[in-house]
Amino acid sequence: MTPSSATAPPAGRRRLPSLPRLPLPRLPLLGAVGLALLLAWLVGYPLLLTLVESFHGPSGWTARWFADFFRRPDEWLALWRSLWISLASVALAAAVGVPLAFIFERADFPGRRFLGAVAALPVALPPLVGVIAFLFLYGESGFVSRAVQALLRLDHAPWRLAGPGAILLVHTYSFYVYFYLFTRAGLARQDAALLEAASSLGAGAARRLWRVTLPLLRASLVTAALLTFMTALASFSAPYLFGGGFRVMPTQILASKLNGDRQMSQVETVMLAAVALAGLWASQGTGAGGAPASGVRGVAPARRRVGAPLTRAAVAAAGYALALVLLLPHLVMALISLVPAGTWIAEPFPPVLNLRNYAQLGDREHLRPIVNSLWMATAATAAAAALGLAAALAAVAARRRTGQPGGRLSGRLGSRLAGRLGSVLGSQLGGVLETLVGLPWAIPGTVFAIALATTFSVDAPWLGRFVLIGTPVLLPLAYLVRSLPLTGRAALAGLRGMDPALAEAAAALGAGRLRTLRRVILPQLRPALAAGAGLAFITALGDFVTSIVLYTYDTRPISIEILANVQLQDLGMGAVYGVLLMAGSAVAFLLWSPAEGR
Amino acid sequence: MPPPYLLLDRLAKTFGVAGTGTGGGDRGRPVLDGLTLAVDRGEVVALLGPSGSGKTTALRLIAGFETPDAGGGRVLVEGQDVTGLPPARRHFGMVFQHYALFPHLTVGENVAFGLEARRLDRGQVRARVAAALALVDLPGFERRRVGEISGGQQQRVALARALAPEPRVLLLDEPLSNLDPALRERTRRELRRAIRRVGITTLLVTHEQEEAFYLGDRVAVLEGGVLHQAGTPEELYDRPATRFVATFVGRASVLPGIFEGEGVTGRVRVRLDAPAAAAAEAGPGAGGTAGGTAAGDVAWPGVAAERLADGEAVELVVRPEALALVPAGTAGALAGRVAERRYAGPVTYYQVELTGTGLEIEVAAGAGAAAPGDEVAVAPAAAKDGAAGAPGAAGAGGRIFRRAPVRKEPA
Repeated sequence: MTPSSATAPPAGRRRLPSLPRLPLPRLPLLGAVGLALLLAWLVGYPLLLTLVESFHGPSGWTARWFADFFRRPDEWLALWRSLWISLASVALAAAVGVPLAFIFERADFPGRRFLGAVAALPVALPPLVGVIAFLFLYGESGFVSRAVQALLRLDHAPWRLAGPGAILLVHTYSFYVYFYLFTRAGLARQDAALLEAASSLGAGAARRLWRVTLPLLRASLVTAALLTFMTALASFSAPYLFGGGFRVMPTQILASKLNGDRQMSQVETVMLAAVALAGLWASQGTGAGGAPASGVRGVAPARRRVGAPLTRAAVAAAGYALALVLLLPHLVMALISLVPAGTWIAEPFPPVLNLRNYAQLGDREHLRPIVNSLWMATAATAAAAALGLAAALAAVAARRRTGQPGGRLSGRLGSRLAGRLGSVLGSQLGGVLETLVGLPWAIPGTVFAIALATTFSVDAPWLGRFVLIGTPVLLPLAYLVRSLPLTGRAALAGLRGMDPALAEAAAALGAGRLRTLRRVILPQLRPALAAGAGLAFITALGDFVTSIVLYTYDTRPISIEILANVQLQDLGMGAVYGVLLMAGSAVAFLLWSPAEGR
Repeated sequence: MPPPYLLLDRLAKTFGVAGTGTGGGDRGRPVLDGLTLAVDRGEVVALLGPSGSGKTTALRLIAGFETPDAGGGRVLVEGQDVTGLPPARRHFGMVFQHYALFPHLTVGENVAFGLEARRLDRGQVRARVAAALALVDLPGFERRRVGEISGGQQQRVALARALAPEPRVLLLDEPLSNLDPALRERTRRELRRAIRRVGITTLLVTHEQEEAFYLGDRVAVLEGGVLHQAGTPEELYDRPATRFVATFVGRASVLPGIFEGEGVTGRVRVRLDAPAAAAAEAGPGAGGTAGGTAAGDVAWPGVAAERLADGEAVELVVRPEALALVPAGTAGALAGRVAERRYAGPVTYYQVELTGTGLEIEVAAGAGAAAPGDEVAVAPAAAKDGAAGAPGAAGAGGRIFRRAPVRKEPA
């Protein structure tokens, strides 16, 4: 996998390349406005309502809940913990991911290709599954802990996997991959001639690194840092399972909601969203998503072959050891799935291994979470792909109106005012559509879950509010909203990378706008859209953070079932669901990868 | 005799062999085979050759970006062996084909990059940057972004950056290939002016003869990793040492024949192969039917580039301006028909198909000398008025080389 624009965060608008002028079918302005309203209802409205309701008490408008929030030290503490855990996660993920990227991109040794692919594995591990796997491995009764305990003949487990240390360990494992992939992609894009130029100007290795390589990597590093920060800020499963009394904002929000303190959970939601948006704002102008303009790009520097046989062997051995560490969570999950309930008590290794857990999947109740997750993820992905594509195309079509006062609307109404209105609306609409599509990326999943629960728990159709809580519609709707940035931004990135000359060639060959769209533009967009949809499917399939707020017994997805089984100490069955989740993610990953390469 | 300022001593490089650095070419393919070249202080030498001739590899070996094969030669500057030194410690300046300007730095910061290691104070750096930019006619460009300036300006910034640290040797890798023809012409003049003004020892790589002739005091012609000849442009054009140089430098036609005579200079007799065969097929006097002399009987003036024996298979390489179109039937001329006429302004080129041979020969003449389809004859240019030009000079009939044995292609 390479980090595509589908996974990249929204960059500062000035740095994004402008959308190409493609001969798309003329979009009636009303259609584009309707699409923007639909997206606003799905994305912006729930957030706005949450903000409004956080200022609204039984007796009218009040800032009492905010005053409470600022008065209570536990709230401040949770906010502070969220912040420092996120920043520490960025530092640790960078400390692991960046050197790994340099090793795999700049050195050549036996097994480099295979190990390089293995190093990207955590990206395909759903968050909750990763956390559970860590529990099986390094928890008090995990394999590694038992092995160390037996080795050192200790009476009790050598450590407890709990608190901030445990959260950071899981975050580092899960998020270094962002730095690894973005840095590798950045290094692969660098021009060897730049380093040679620095050498010829007297720069040694260290100066080349600090003055040339790292500044050129800035965009990749800032993008990875932002992605890591946002994901860590929104992270729920690790703090939920390992945090204990160590609360961060997402777990604090859930606790307030479970305690029936709806108002406070809304204030916390608003505060978490504010921190996320502040993080996004702070990253603007730091070069995220953009690279310095260079006249001509040459080839990337050649990999340096590790020459000395002993060093080669050492590097290869270290690489395979690393691969084993990275593969262990997957392997342990597969192993535990073969352990029948109640057969593994105190032994260092499970005494019984069979397929009994898998056989239980024939039972309707055991099968239900799988069916739920599959249909909800599929429906959400399909809708997100359709909406994302429509929004991207509408953004391009709307922007074409800029500077076209003779557009359809003005022609029909025949007035200069209408022409100017159409032009201004068109130019604004493109930006609005892009913002709405990208917004859920910056908002933690818990925030959206609370916002959707707030919006769709009231029956007021004239205000766009319906009672969806407790129905099978709400979870797919939540998945859809969270998937929109993946599909919409993938489609926008595909459109941005498109050569307008191809569409112009089609037009010159007599193809109308609709035929150009169908025969030229959409086929070219397919790889980018497939990549976005693949990621959206993986995210929805393994979602835990919104599911835990919005699920019901009948709509419970796989992640909730995993948690339930682990809490019931039926580790085997929990691992079975984990394995299935990994398999589903891997299949989606494989299906999307060739599409990206085409 | 003092040692040369820069000496390339039997440089050899094979790509695809373990332990020889980068390279992703054919396994074990020699790209440079014992290149030896001496360059005087302040001299500008152009390495000229087609793609794959090894000229860029030679430049990268000199710069230190590639290492020679084990025992594969040395690079010496003022007698100092720099072969083992990393590029950063050679004090050579290099201008890259695509300039390699640092996109994250301004023009001024790019030019100052090489000065940072010199521990100069800020004022000195500023002054040196300003001077370097003034040298390339870009004063006041310090704060511009690299992406904001034109291709020609980028080329000049790259030159200023390379010159600012006052390197011992300047290396230019296809410095103008990235520019459009009109800009290239202008930039070439500016580049030459800047190099002359500084007086720096310069090696430049190019595949364009015009560029090499314009910029180089001497030109070294490479092919297949081998140096064929190094000399002034006049020497290369008028007295090419090998058949490759004769055909690669300037326009030329090649006619196979048999050497008849002795010595290496003067009016020698070359019996042309194919025309002789054609004459034999057509019977006695066949050459005359086309309005010329039977080609096999032609005694062609030329200069042998090497010592040849009587009866040896040779090739006659003739330049278009060394030939003239004469009326059909002229004695001692080759009979033919004008196949194509190409007007090129000051001169017009005629492609003449020699009668019954399938061979074509290019002749430079006036615009109205002939028309396609005309029966004509071709003679050495000086023979028009009955006197051949001085052998060895441009006006001579041609240059004679020993014919290389035909290599059998594997089945």
